[in-house]
Amino acid sequence: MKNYTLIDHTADFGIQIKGKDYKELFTRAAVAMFDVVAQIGHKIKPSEKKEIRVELEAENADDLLLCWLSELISISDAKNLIFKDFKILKLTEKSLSAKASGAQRKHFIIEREIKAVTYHRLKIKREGRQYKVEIIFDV
Amino acid sequence: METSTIPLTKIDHCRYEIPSSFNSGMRVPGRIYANEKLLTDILKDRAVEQVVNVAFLPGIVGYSMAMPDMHWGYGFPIGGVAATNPEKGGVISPGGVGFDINCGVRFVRTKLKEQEVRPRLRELVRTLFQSVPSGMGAKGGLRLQNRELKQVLSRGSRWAVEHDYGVEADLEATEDYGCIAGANPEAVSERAYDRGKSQLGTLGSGNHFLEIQIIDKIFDESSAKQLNLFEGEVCVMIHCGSRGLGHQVCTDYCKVFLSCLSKYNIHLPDKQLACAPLNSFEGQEYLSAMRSAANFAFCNRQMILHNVRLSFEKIFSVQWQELGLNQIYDVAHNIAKMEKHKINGKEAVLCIHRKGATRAFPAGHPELPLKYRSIGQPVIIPGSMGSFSYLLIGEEGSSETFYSCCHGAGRVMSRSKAQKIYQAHTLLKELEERGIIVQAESKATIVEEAPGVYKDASEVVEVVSQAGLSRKLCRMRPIGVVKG
Repeated sequence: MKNYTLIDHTADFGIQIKGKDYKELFTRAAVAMFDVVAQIGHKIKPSEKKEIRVELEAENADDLLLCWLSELISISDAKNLIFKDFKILKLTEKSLSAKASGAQRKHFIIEREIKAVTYHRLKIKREGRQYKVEIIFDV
Repeated sequence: METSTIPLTKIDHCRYEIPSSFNSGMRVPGRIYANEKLLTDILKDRAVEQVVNVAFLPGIVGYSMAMPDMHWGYGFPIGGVAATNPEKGGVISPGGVGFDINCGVRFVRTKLKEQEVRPRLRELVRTLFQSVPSGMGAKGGLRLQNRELKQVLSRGSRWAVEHDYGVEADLEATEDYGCIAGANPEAVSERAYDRGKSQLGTLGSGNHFLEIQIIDKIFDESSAKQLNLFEGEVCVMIHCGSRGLGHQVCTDYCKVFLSCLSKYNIHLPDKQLACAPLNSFEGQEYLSAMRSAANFAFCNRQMILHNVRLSFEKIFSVQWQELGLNQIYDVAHNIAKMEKHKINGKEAVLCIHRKGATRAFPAGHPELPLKYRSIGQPVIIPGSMGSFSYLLIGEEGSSETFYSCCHGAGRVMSRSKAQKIYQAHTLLKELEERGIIVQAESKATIVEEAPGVYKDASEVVEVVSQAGLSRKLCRMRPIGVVKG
């Protein structure tokens, strides 16, 4: 069961995520993004596992979410890594500390490339007891 | 704002306008180039709202414009053109360029006839697929140190020619001779270098492609003859951009510009339009970083052309010069350029944002190399993998669009919808039955780039031709496709 839904966007790729709190929302957004990029369902052998640490600051929660996803895409491209597991260690409206783990790209079936995460329509909204956000990727 | 509430006034059979009175934030009216048929598709998504949003940009002059291949993008619509005047507080917006800085198209002729290539086509497509790395994160044969990469960012295609990856004539047949002046590699982040250092000479994914095509119809015999283009001959089209390096430059500067919007008292309806005055430190830094990424893209397509030439040599056992693999032109269609234009009868240097739009200088333009000065600038319009592409020539009428024209067919269907409708193996079979061989890195790409997700490029080209922005020179049909 996927924790995101696809949004129709003519040129690019959009997803909608829901989470009970920011931590869940940020984690699900990262998983969804790499699920769009590659088939990430399988387990990674311990010997192939690569882990990175991410520390970020931003003006508000919307920008922080964008920075988080942009940072992961950027490291993924620079270091040939696909991430599949994420652990958010500390999260406020303006700062994030997290770990992401995955493996070299060659261990995955790649579906498509995400060039970047756009600010277009990115706004975290409260919907009842949940938080909801739409994210458009440039592919 | 809902698209249905936006008033569109029909000016003539290919022009529609949105009055600036529609929204108090609009500084100029909007103008859309389309016929009734294309407009029906255009109104299905939110691209028209984006034409309105772009009209909010400080210092915008003329119109917020969109070409007939327009569709919903982020910030600007794809197909958007906007000119800003630095002397009137004009801004530069990375959203008006796109993440893939200097995504563009290169068109190369050959002397080969279709019947000479057909028997070797599968082998040729396979060789091209192997020699031009494609797909996500594809790494090229060259792994450059930062010091060398900085030279690429400063010198563009010239760097490649100086290292024997091309010839002087390639430079003359490239927009800005393959190098935009004013690049500053120091304005590009370390992360961008990390992403770009092994991606020179790679195609990437998404809508990028490398195609073997046949000149199927000539519309302008005289100009075609001058360019050595003849019906039935084989040619090559390369569509790609600045790869991870360019994507990172855009990501970096969007963040910078968002943080200084309040400093410059700029209010925008969409964060992805984040911008800074051209006459500001931040604006100049982005301009010089964007030019650096644009030069990387020119060099990237030059390196790909080099590998295309080697592939043809390998298959046909003849040197590429003898096969006549000469470059016709290379255009940027995601770019912002400082250009001289007349505004209200006075000459001014304006920043022309072309986001999915192509420069289209007419004959006689002083910036064109001599070989094109009497004909006009070639404008390359790629279609989808199963349909026609076009070669156009800039016409004087494009002065009303700051010498800009369309850039492709334009999408009409989302990628998620394409996944529900198409299957890769059925598409490949259908294309093969039509004589088109496709080799792609990913099945998802084949489905998402299916011919049916695009508008008919022929319809788009008809509108720009009727509007006097460009004239049709020739039409090409694909026979071999390499995709990411």
